[in-house]
Amino acid sequence: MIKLSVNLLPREIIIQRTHNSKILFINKLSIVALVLLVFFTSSAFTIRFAQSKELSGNEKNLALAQEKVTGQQVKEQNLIFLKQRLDTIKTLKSGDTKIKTIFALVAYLLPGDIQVTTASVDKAGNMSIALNSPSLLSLETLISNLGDREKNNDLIERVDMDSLYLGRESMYKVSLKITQKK
Amino acid sequence: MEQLKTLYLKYRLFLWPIVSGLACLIILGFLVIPEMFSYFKTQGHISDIRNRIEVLEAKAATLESIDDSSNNQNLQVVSTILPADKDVPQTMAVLQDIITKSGLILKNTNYGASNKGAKNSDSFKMSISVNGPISAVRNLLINLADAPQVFQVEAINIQFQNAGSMVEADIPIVVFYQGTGRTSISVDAPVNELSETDKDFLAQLSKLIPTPLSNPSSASGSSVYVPLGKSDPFE
Repeated sequence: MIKLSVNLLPREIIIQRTHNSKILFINKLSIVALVLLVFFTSSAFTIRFAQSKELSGNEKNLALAQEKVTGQQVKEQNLIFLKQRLDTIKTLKSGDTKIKTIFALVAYLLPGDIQVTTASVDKAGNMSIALNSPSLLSLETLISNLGDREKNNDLIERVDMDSLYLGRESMYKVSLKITQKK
Repeated sequence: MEQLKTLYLKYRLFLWPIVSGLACLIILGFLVIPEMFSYFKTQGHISDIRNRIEVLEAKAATLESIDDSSNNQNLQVVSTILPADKDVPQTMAVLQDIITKSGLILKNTNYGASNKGAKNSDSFKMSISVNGPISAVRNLLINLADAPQVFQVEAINIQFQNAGSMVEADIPIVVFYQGTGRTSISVDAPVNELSETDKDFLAQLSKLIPTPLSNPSSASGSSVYVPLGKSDPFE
Protein backbone atom coordinates (compact mmCIF):
# COMPACT_ATOMS: atom_id res chain seq x y z
CA MET A 1 0.00 0.00 0.00
CA ILE A 2 1.54 3.36 -1.01
CA LYS A 3 1.54 6.00 1.66
CA LEU A 4 0.85 9.54 0.66
CA SER A 5 1.84 12.58 2.72
CA VAL A 6 0.02 15.77 2.21
CA ASN A 7 1.24 18.98 3.69
CA LEU A 8 -1.74 21.06 4.50
CA LEU A 9 0.30 23.98 5.83
CA PRO A 10 0.15 27.18 3.80
CA ARG A 11 3.12 27.76 1.47
CA GLU A 12 4.23 30.94 3.27
CA ILE A 13 4.58 29.08 6.53
CA ILE A 14 6.66 26.36 4.85
CA ILE A 15 8.98 28.99 3.37
CA GLN A 16 9.13 30.74 6.75
CA ARG A 17 10.05 27.46 8.50
CA THR A 18 12.79 26.69 5.96
CA HIS A 19 14.15 30.17 6.40
CA ASN A 20 14.11 29.86 10.20
CA SER A 21 15.90 26.50 10.13
CA LYS A 22 18.65 28.03 7.99
CA ILE A 23 19.06 30.87 10.50
CA LEU A 24 19.16 28.37 13.34
CA PHE A 25 21.82 26.23 11.61
CA ILE A 26 24.04 29.24 10.89
CA ASN A 27 23.64 30.47 14.47
CA LYS A 28 24.60 27.04 15.81
CA LEU A 29 27.68 27.03 13.57
CA SER A 30 28.66 30.47 14.82
CA ILE A 31 28.27 29.42 18.45
CA VAL A 32 30.37 26.29 17.87
CA ALA A 33 33.06 28.41 16.20
CA LEU A 34 33.05 30.87 19.10
CA VAL A 35 33.18 28.12 21.69
CA LEU A 36 36.09 26.47 19.87
CA LEU A 37 37.84 29.81 19.70
CA VAL A 38 37.37 30.43 23.40
CA PHE A 39 38.70 26.92 24.04
CA PHE A 40 41.82 27.52 21.91
CA THR A 41 42.41 30.93 23.42
CA SER A 42 42.17 29.70 26.99
CA SER A 43 44.40 26.70 26.13
CA ALA A 44 46.94 29.04 24.61
CA PHE A 45 46.94 31.21 27.72
CA THR A 46 47.19 28.18 30.03
CA ILE A 47 50.13 26.78 28.07
CA ARG A 48 51.85 30.17 28.08
CA PHE A 49 51.33 30.48 31.82
CA ALA A 50 52.82 27.01 32.41
CA GLN A 51 55.69 27.88 30.10
CA SER A 52 56.45 31.11 31.93
CA LYS A 53 56.57 29.14 35.19
CA GLU A 54 59.00 26.68 33.58
CA LEU A 55 61.08 29.58 32.25
CA SER A 56 61.35 31.27 35.64
CA GLY A 57 62.30 27.92 37.22
CA ASN A 58 65.04 27.40 34.66
CA GLU A 59 66.27 30.98 35.08
CA LYS A 60 66.58 30.37 38.83
CA ASN A 61 68.60 27.19 38.16
CA LEU A 62 70.78 29.12 35.71
CA ALA A 63 71.46 31.79 38.34
CA LEU A 64 72.44 29.05 40.83
CA ALA A 65 74.75 27.40 38.31
CA GLN A 66 76.34 30.78 37.50
CA GLU A 67 76.84 31.40 41.20
CA LYS A 68 78.57 28.01 41.56
CA VAL A 69 80.97 28.89 38.75
CA THR A 70 81.54 32.45 40.01
CA GLY A 71 82.44 30.96 43.40
CA GLN A 72 85.32 29.14 41.68
CA GLN A 73 86.48 32.21 39.78
CA VAL A 74 89.74 32.59 41.73
CA LYS A 75 90.64 28.98 40.95
CA GLU A 76 89.78 29.53 37.30
CA GLN A 77 91.89 32.69 37.12
CA ASN A 78 94.78 30.84 38.73
CA LEU A 79 94.44 28.10 36.13
CA ILE A 80 94.47 30.58 33.26
CA PHE A 81 97.44 32.37 34.80
CA LEU A 82 99.25 29.03 35.17
CA LYS A 83 98.62 28.05 31.55
CA GLN A 84 99.70 31.46 30.21
CA ARG A 85 102.81 31.38 32.34
CA LEU A 86 103.71 27.89 31.15
CA ASP A 87 103.30 28.95 27.51
CA THR A 88 105.52 32.00 28.09
CA ILE A 89 108.19 29.94 29.87
CA LYS A 90 108.18 27.36 27.06
CA THR A 91 108.66 30.09 24.43
CA LEU A 92 111.35 31.93 26.36
CA LYS A 93 113.31 28.80 27.28
CA SER A 94 113.52 27.74 23.64
CA GLY A 95 114.68 31.23 22.58
CA ASP A 96 118.41 30.48 22.83
CA THR A 97 118.33 26.87 21.60
CA LYS A 98 120.09 27.76 18.35
CA ILE A 99 123.01 29.42 20.15
CA LYS A 100 123.54 26.53 22.53
CA THR A 101 123.06 23.91 19.83
CA ILE A 102 125.65 25.30 17.43
CA PHE A 103 128.16 25.77 20.24
CA ALA A 104 127.73 22.22 21.47
CA LEU A 105 127.77 20.82 17.91
CA VAL A 106 131.02 22.54 16.90
CA ALA A 107 132.67 21.61 20.19
CA TYR A 108 131.65 17.98 19.54
CA LEU A 109 132.83 17.90 15.91
CA LEU A 110 136.22 19.53 16.57
CA PRO A 111 139.10 17.05 16.10
CA GLY A 112 141.25 16.74 19.21
CA ASP A 113 144.40 18.29 17.76
CA ILE A 114 142.73 21.54 16.63
CA GLN A 115 143.03 24.50 18.99
CA VAL A 116 140.38 27.20 19.06
CA THR A 117 141.71 30.73 19.57
CA THR A 118 138.42 32.65 19.48
CA ALA A 119 134.81 31.69 18.99
CA SER A 120 131.67 33.72 18.99
CA VAL A 121 128.04 32.91 18.43
CA ASP A 122 125.57 35.68 17.59
CA LYS A 123 121.84 35.99 18.32
CA ALA A 124 120.87 34.18 15.13
CA GLY A 125 123.03 31.18 16.09
CA ASN A 126 125.76 31.85 13.50
CA MET A 127 129.26 31.07 14.66
CA SER A 128 132.61 32.66 13.83
CA ILE A 129 135.59 30.63 14.89
CA ALA A 130 139.34 31.10 14.60
CA LEU A 131 141.41 27.90 14.81
CA ASN A 132 144.96 26.66 14.85
CA SER A 133 145.46 23.30 13.19
CA PRO A 134 148.72 21.31 12.95
CA SER A 135 147.63 19.69 9.68
CA LEU A 136 145.37 20.22 6.72
CA LEU A 137 143.92 16.75 7.28
CA SER A 138 142.44 17.79 10.63
CA LEU A 139 140.99 20.90 9.00
CA GLU A 140 139.56 18.79 6.22
CA THR A 141 137.99 16.44 8.79
CA LEU A 142 136.44 19.38 10.62
CA ILE A 143 135.02 21.01 7.51
CA SER A 144 133.79 17.67 6.20
CA ASN A 145 132.07 16.96 9.54
CA LEU A 146 130.49 20.40 9.55
CA GLY A 147 129.20 19.88 6.04
CA ASP A 148 127.89 16.34 6.57
CA ARG A 149 124.12 16.46 7.10
CA GLU A 150 124.09 13.34 9.22
CA LYS A 151 126.90 14.52 11.44
CA ASN A 152 125.64 18.09 11.80
CA ASN A 153 122.00 16.95 12.36
CA ASP A 154 121.04 19.01 9.31
CA LEU A 155 121.58 22.19 11.34
CA ILE A 156 124.26 23.91 9.29
CA GLU A 157 123.38 25.75 6.12
CA ARG A 158 126.90 26.69 5.08
CA VAL A 159 130.51 26.99 6.20
CA ASP A 160 132.60 29.89 4.87
CA MET A 161 136.37 29.92 5.19
CA ASP A 162 137.31 33.57 5.64
CA SER A 163 141.06 32.98 5.82
CA LEU A 164 143.63 30.21 5.77
CA TYR A 165 147.37 30.64 6.12
CA LEU A 166 150.37 28.82 7.44
CA GLY A 167 151.58 30.62 10.51
CA ARG A 168 154.46 30.20 12.91
CA GLU A 169 155.38 26.76 14.30
CA SER A 170 153.89 25.24 11.11
CA MET A 171 150.37 25.80 12.38
CA TYR A 172 147.57 26.45 9.93
CA LYS A 173 145.50 29.42 11.04
CA VAL A 174 141.91 29.33 9.84
CA SER A 175 138.88 31.44 10.40
CA LEU A 176 135.52 29.91 9.65
CA LYS A 177 132.01 31.33 9.56
CA ILE A 178 129.29 28.76 10.20
CA THR A 179 125.76 29.74 9.23
CA GLN A 180 122.93 27.85 10.84
CA LYS A 181 119.75 26.89 9.00
CA LYS A 182 116.74 29.10 9.82
CA MET B 1 15.47 54.13 13.28
CA GLU B 2 12.88 52.52 11.05
CA GLN B 3 15.47 52.20 8.32
CA LEU B 4 17.85 50.41 10.69
CA LYS B 5 15.09 48.09 11.77
CA THR B 6 14.29 47.30 8.13
CA LEU B 7 17.94 46.65 7.34
CA TYR B 8 18.28 44.41 10.38
CA LEU B 9 15.24 42.38 9.44
CA LYS B 10 16.51 42.05 5.88
CA TYR B 11 20.08 40.96 6.72
CA ARG B 12 19.69 39.37 10.13
CA LEU B 13 20.48 35.97 8.63
CA PHE B 14 24.00 37.14 7.75
CA LEU B 15 24.64 39.57 10.63
CA TRP B 16 25.45 37.14 13.46
CA PRO B 17 27.70 34.84 11.41
CA ILE B 18 29.64 37.85 10.03
CA VAL B 19 30.13 39.35 13.47
CA SER B 20 31.20 36.03 15.04
CA GLY B 21 33.43 35.27 12.04
CA LEU B 22 35.14 38.65 12.36
CA ALA B 23 35.55 38.17 16.11
CA CYS B 24 37.12 34.75 15.47
CA LEU B 25 39.51 36.17 12.90
CA ILE B 26 40.50 39.06 15.16
CA ILE B 27 41.09 36.82 18.15
CA LEU B 28 43.01 34.31 16.03
CA GLY B 29 45.08 36.95 14.27
CA PHE B 30 45.90 39.15 17.26
CA LEU B 31 45.92 36.70 20.12
CA VAL B 32 46.15 32.99 19.37
CA ILE B 33 48.66 33.00 16.51
CA PRO B 34 51.09 35.49 18.15
CA GLU B 35 50.85 33.47 21.36
CA MET B 36 51.73 30.33 19.39
CA PHE B 37 54.78 31.96 17.85
CA SER B 38 56.00 33.35 21.14
CA TYR B 39 55.45 29.90 22.70
CA PHE B 40 57.88 28.33 20.23
CA LYS B 41 60.34 31.19 20.67
CA THR B 42 60.23 30.84 24.45
CA GLN B 43 60.60 27.08 24.15
CA GLY B 44 63.84 27.63 22.22
CA HIS B 45 64.98 30.07 24.89
CA ILE B 46 64.21 27.50 27.62
CA SER B 47 66.22 24.89 25.72
CA ASP B 48 69.18 27.31 25.49
CA ILE B 49 68.97 27.98 29.22
CA ARG B 50 68.92 24.23 29.96
CA ASN B 51 72.03 23.73 27.78
CA ARG B 52 73.80 26.59 29.55
CA ILE B 53 72.89 25.09 32.94
CA GLU B 54 74.39 21.75 31.88
CA VAL B 55 77.59 23.39 30.65
CA LEU B 56 77.93 25.54 33.78
CA GLU B 57 77.34 22.60 36.11
CA ALA B 58 79.96 20.55 34.25
CA LYS B 59 82.36 23.50 34.51
CA ALA B 60 81.70 23.90 38.25
CA ALA B 61 82.28 20.15 38.75
CA THR B 62 85.58 20.32 36.79
CA LEU B 63 86.77 23.30 38.83
CA GLU B 64 85.79 21.63 42.09
CA SER B 65 87.75 18.51 41.13
CA ILE B 66 90.99 20.51 40.78
CA ASP B 67 93.14 20.10 43.86
CA ASP B 68 93.84 23.50 45.49
CA SER B 69 97.15 22.55 47.06
CA SER B 70 98.70 21.14 43.88
CA ASN B 71 97.37 24.15 41.97
CA ASN B 72 99.04 26.51 44.46
CA GLN B 73 102.24 24.51 44.25
CA ASN B 74 102.22 24.77 40.46
CA LEU B 75 101.61 28.50 40.71
CA GLN B 76 104.58 28.86 43.00
CA VAL B 77 106.74 26.91 40.55
CA VAL B 78 105.89 29.14 37.58
CA SER B 79 106.14 32.30 39.67
CA THR B 80 109.64 31.23 40.74
CA ILE B 81 110.77 30.33 37.22
CA LEU B 82 109.27 33.52 35.75
CA PRO B 83 108.96 36.02 38.60
CA ALA B 84 106.50 38.89 38.66
CA ASP B 85 109.08 41.53 39.59
CA LYS B 86 112.58 42.48 38.56
CA ASP B 87 114.95 41.40 41.33
CA VAL B 88 118.52 42.08 40.26
CA PRO B 89 120.26 41.04 43.51
CA GLN B 90 118.42 37.71 43.62
CA THR B 91 119.16 37.10 39.93
CA MET B 92 122.81 37.92 40.53
CA ALA B 93 122.91 35.44 43.41
CA VAL B 94 121.38 32.71 41.21
CA LEU B 95 123.81 33.41 38.37
CA GLN B 96 126.78 33.44 40.73
CA ASP B 97 125.68 30.08 42.07
CA ILE B 98 125.36 28.62 38.56
CA ILE B 99 128.75 30.00 37.47
CA THR B 100 130.45 28.51 40.53
CA LYS B 101 128.72 25.15 40.08
CA SER B 102 129.84 25.07 36.43
CA GLY B 103 133.50 25.40 37.49
CA LEU B 104 134.01 28.97 36.26
CA ILE B 105 135.21 32.13 37.92
CA LEU B 106 133.13 35.27 37.52
CA LYS B 107 135.35 38.19 36.50
CA ASN B 108 132.86 40.90 35.65
CA THR B 109 129.13 41.62 35.51
CA ASN B 110 127.32 44.34 33.63
CA TYR B 111 123.69 45.21 34.13
CA GLY B 112 121.80 46.32 31.03
CA ALA B 113 118.54 48.11 30.29
CA SER B 114 115.07 46.58 30.48
CA ASN B 115 113.21 45.53 27.40
CA LYS B 116 109.94 44.05 26.29
CA GLY B 117 110.36 40.40 25.36
CA ALA B 118 108.22 37.73 23.75
CA LYS B 119 104.72 36.93 25.06
CA ASN B 120 104.37 40.32 26.78
CA SER B 121 107.24 39.60 29.20
CA ASP B 122 109.77 42.14 30.45
CA SER B 123 113.51 41.56 30.66
CA PHE B 124 116.85 43.03 31.56
CA LYS B 125 120.34 42.06 30.51
CA MET B 126 123.18 40.75 32.65
CA SER B 127 126.48 40.44 30.77
CA ILE B 128 128.94 38.16 32.51
CA SER B 129 132.68 37.63 31.94
CA VAL B 130 133.96 34.30 33.17
CA ASN B 131 137.25 32.41 33.23
CA GLY B 132 137.74 28.69 33.16
CA PRO B 133 138.05 25.62 30.98
CA ILE B 134 135.96 25.29 27.80
CA SER B 135 134.17 22.28 29.30
CA ALA B 136 133.02 24.52 32.14
CA VAL B 137 131.53 26.95 29.60
CA ARG B 138 129.60 24.03 28.14
CA ASN B 139 128.43 23.15 31.69
CA LEU B 140 127.39 26.75 32.21
CA LEU B 141 125.16 26.64 29.15
CA ILE B 142 123.56 23.40 30.37
CA ASN B 143 123.14 24.76 33.90
CA LEU B 144 121.55 27.97 32.59
CA ALA B 145 118.95 25.86 30.81
CA ASP B 146 118.28 24.01 34.07
CA ALA B 147 118.28 27.16 36.20
CA PRO B 148 115.37 27.95 38.56
CA GLN B 149 114.72 31.08 36.49
CA VAL B 150 114.35 31.87 32.78
CA PHE B 151 117.75 32.86 31.39
CA GLN B 152 118.30 33.34 27.68
CA VAL B 153 121.82 33.40 26.29
CA GLU B 154 122.00 36.20 23.75
CA ALA B 155 125.48 35.48 22.37
CA ILE B 156 128.74 33.71 23.28
CA ASN B 157 132.17 35.26 22.81
CA ILE B 158 135.14 33.10 23.74
CA GLN B 159 138.79 33.93 23.79
CA PHE B 160 141.23 31.09 24.41
CA GLN B 161 144.12 31.99 26.64
CA ASN B 162 147.53 31.16 25.17
CA ALA B 163 147.85 27.37 25.02
CA GLY B 164 145.61 24.98 26.82
CA SER B 165 141.89 24.83 27.31
CA MET B 166 141.40 27.86 29.57
CA VAL B 167 139.10 30.49 28.10
CA GLU B 168 137.69 33.89 28.83
CA ALA B 169 134.04 34.05 27.86
CA ASP B 170 131.73 37.06 27.57
CA ILE B 171 128.12 35.97 27.67
CA PRO B 172 125.23 38.45 27.63
CA ILE B 173 122.24 36.85 29.35
CA VAL B 174 118.68 38.12 29.16
CA VAL B 175 116.71 37.66 32.38
CA PHE B 176 112.93 37.57 32.09
CA TYR B 177 110.11 38.52 34.41
CA GLN B 178 106.41 39.11 33.85
CA GLY B 179 103.84 41.06 35.81
CA THR B 180 100.62 39.41 36.96
CA GLY B 181 97.77 41.11 35.16
CA ARG B 182 94.26 39.97 36.07
CA THR B 183 92.36 38.36 33.19
CA SER B 184 88.63 38.93 33.00
CA ILE B 185 86.87 35.62 32.42
CA SER B 186 83.41 35.00 31.02
CA VAL B 187 81.28 32.66 33.15
CA ASP B 188 80.44 30.64 30.04
CA ALA B 189 84.07 30.26 28.90
CA PRO B 190 85.29 26.62 29.01
CA VAL B 191 87.76 25.56 31.69
CA ASN B 192 91.37 25.98 30.56
CA GLU B 193 92.66 22.67 31.94
CA LEU B 194 96.28 21.66 31.78
CA SER B 195 97.11 19.18 29.02
CA GLU B 196 99.37 16.17 29.62
CA THR B 197 102.20 18.05 27.88
CA ASP B 198 101.70 20.99 30.25
CA LYS B 199 101.74 18.67 33.28
CA ASP B 200 104.96 17.00 32.09
CA PHE B 201 106.57 20.39 31.50
CA LEU B 202 105.43 21.54 34.94
CA ALA B 203 106.96 18.42 36.52
CA GLN B 204 110.25 19.22 34.72
CA LEU B 205 110.15 22.82 35.96
CA SER B 206 109.45 21.83 39.55
CA LYS B 207 112.60 19.66 39.48
CA LEU B 208 114.64 22.77 38.65
CA ILE B 209 113.68 24.43 41.92
CA PRO B 210 116.05 23.16 44.60
CA THR B 211 113.87 23.56 47.72
CA PRO B 212 110.72 21.39 47.95
CA LEU B 213 107.81 23.85 47.82
CA SER B 214 105.50 21.57 49.85
CA ASN B 215 107.81 21.98 52.81
CA PRO B 216 109.04 25.55 52.67
CA SER B 217 110.73 25.56 56.08
CA SER B 218 113.59 23.11 55.77
CA ALA B 219 114.26 21.08 58.92
CA SER B 220 118.00 20.70 58.21
CA GLY B 221 118.68 24.42 58.61
CA SER B 222 121.09 24.45 55.64
CA SER B 223 121.02 27.34 53.17
CA VAL B 224 117.70 27.33 51.44
CA TYR B 225 116.94 28.74 48.02
CA VAL B 226 114.22 31.34 48.43
CA PRO B 227 111.69 31.17 45.61
CA LEU B 228 111.16 34.46 43.83
CA GLY B 229 107.44 34.06 43.31
CA LYS B 230 104.61 35.12 45.58
CA SER B 231 102.27 32.46 46.94
CA ASP B 232 99.29 34.41 45.61
CA PRO B 233 100.24 35.86 42.23
CA PHE B 234 97.32 38.28 42.32
CA GLU B 235 98.47 40.05 45.51
